[in-house]
Amino acid sequence: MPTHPAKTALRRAGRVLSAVGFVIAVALCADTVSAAPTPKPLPDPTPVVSTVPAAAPDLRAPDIQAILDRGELIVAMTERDQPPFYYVGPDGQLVGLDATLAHDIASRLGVKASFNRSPKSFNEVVELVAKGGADVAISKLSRTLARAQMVRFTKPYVTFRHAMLFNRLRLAQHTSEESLPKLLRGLKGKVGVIGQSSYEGFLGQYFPSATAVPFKNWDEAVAAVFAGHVLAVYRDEMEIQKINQSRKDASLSLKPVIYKDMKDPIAMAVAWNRPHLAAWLDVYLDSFVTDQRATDILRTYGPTKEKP
Amino acid sequence: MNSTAAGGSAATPIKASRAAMLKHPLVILLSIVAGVGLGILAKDVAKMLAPIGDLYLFFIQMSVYPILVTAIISGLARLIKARSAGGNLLRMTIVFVACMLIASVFGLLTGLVGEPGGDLDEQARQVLGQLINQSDGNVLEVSLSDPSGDSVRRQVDFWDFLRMLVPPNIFQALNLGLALQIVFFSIIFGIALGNIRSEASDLLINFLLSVLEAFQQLIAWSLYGLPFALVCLIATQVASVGVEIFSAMLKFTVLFWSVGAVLFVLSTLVIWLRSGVRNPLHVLRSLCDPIMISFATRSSFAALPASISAMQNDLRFERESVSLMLPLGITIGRYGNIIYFALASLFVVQLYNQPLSAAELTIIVTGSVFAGMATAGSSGILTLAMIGIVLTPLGLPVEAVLIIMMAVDAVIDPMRTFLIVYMNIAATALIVRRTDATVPAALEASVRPPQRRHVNEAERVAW
Repeated sequence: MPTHPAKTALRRAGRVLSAVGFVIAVALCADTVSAAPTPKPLPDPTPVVSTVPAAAPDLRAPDIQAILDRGELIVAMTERDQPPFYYVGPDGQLVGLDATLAHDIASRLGVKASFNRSPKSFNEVVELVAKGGADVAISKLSRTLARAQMVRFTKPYVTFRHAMLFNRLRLAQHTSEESLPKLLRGLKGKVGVIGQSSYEGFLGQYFPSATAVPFKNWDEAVAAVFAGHVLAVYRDEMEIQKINQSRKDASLSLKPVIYKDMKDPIAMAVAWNRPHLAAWLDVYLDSFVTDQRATDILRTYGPTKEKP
Repeated sequence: MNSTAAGGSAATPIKASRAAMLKHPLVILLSIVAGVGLGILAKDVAKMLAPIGDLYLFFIQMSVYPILVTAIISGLARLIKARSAGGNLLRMTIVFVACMLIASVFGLLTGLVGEPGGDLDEQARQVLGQLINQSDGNVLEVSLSDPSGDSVRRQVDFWDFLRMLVPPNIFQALNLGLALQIVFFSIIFGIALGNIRSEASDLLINFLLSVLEAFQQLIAWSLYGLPFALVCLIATQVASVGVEIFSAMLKFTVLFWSVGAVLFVLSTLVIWLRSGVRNPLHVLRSLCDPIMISFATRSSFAALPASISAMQNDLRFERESVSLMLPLGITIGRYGNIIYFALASLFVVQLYNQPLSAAELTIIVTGSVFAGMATAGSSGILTLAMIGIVLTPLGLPVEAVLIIMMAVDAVIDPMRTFLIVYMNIAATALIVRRTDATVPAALEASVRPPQRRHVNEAERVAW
């Protein structure tokens, strides 16, 4: 059992997260974590308790055994970087929250992580896993009912709220500020989303009067809302807040709105016929304090951290 | 005000002259320089001085509403009794409306020529963007399923303005200092008082006059403290100006102060011509107190008592009319705010690259006048929020601009307040006659005994 790489991965994750006072408590000291769920950084994770007790080889579930036999965990992600979840860092390595999780999970299983980044959209990631092309999707995936028909989702490891970014000028032409919340509930007009993403589905589900305008990627959608070609763009709160970091003058022309009762749980996905892998991942995720807020993730993994 | 102060107090001549030194323009100027210096060099000291300046401001504000009410009611009642109300009021309306439109057009032209929001550089846009981003409430959180948690912040429109005019409860209006409602009530009440028989009304009119003069006396005394207050008030103001936002909005600020300077010269010219004083510098010297109070306190109403005194005593305009017109003017004719709203609207139009047609220009000119009127008695953010009256019909976003306007207001507000006060003095000078012109027979019939007026004039001490 190669414990050493696991520990390094663990330390790295622990260091980054504890820097903002947040614990991603890792399975190393599962008891300690459940007993003390305070957001206090854990002490240095020296292996006082042994990491993963090796199970008797012949009793392992077949879906886990298949991964161990192969010696690598194939993780599906979209072709396009999604900082701060996964992106190619300055040294050419894949970094970010999802990448850290993937490496940590693989080392828990005692295998290496390899990444399949052929999917062009989030829905294609789900399809890839459903077809058996990858063991698990760790790709900032939103849980949706449509996707859950194909794959088995784990517990969410991050929960975002839905958010929109409005073009202020178009918004002012639509309504006075007085009736703004009312307008936001019965939204009409053109709303930009990433094509083949969960938010394309959410829009039809929660805002039936709005017209979805699918874009190839998020950057094009954001450019469109800046130009006023669409009234708003729709995604999770973190992506909405990130725009202010990349374009400091964004607030002059754009207005962020968060739908506080609309949750976007981000979870991993495995094929439906691999229930035990999903159950194992839930056990793994249970050892986390999973109430991470978008701002904290953004601060820890955000694009500002990319370039030191 | 010199007269009342010297006449009212039982001070010895030596003591009086020493105290009078405090009102010398040079002393005032020195205290301003000291205030600016303190604000720049010793921000900590400036912050410690803030409560002293506030106390002075409170003392003046304490007298403002009683003066507002008694001056308008007694002034209007006496004008009606003297049967000279009609002509005066007509003249007043014409002058007020003309001045408001002039102010609005001045602001509009400044914005069209100067293009305050036209070519903001990238750095300025980033400073403004970050400012909005960091402000509270920039991120709106709504619930999709539950409308009960909606914030009830409302935008101001034209009907709100009308609603603001009529007080449902005059005592509440007085209590909350809602100037427009108080003035509306005072006008109505003054007209009623002027129309009842003299035996019934004289007592109340005289009572109101006593209250008015007592409060003016208080203000006259308080002016001896003005140099000290100026140091505190100005130091605090200077220390609170953020340099970064100021540089991002430099063009807007410079434009506003420039149009203010032009209107200052024009107003001075009007006052000088109407006052009949030979030396225009004497006009400025007489108006030194109201000018300085308006700049330092950033409250036009705080400058009202000193303005009335200066016009009545130093520039010798008709007492009754001045004490009616000036309070009315400062309440309704918010010239500084009108110019500001017109210029700020142009800033927004240019910031969002919107085309301007004749219809939109008309909306800006008239909207700014109403927005200006709606600011009576409000201060701070409430004043600035009235820009919604202009921007909403234009379909322009208010919120982001409001945050910028608030941030930069520390350097704009003094000029805005000054313009309200000074242009009103000019407008009043246009409406009101001077006392040493032939006294109209109507005034003889006024309730105020003419003898008292002569005593006052005899008491007048030259500067």
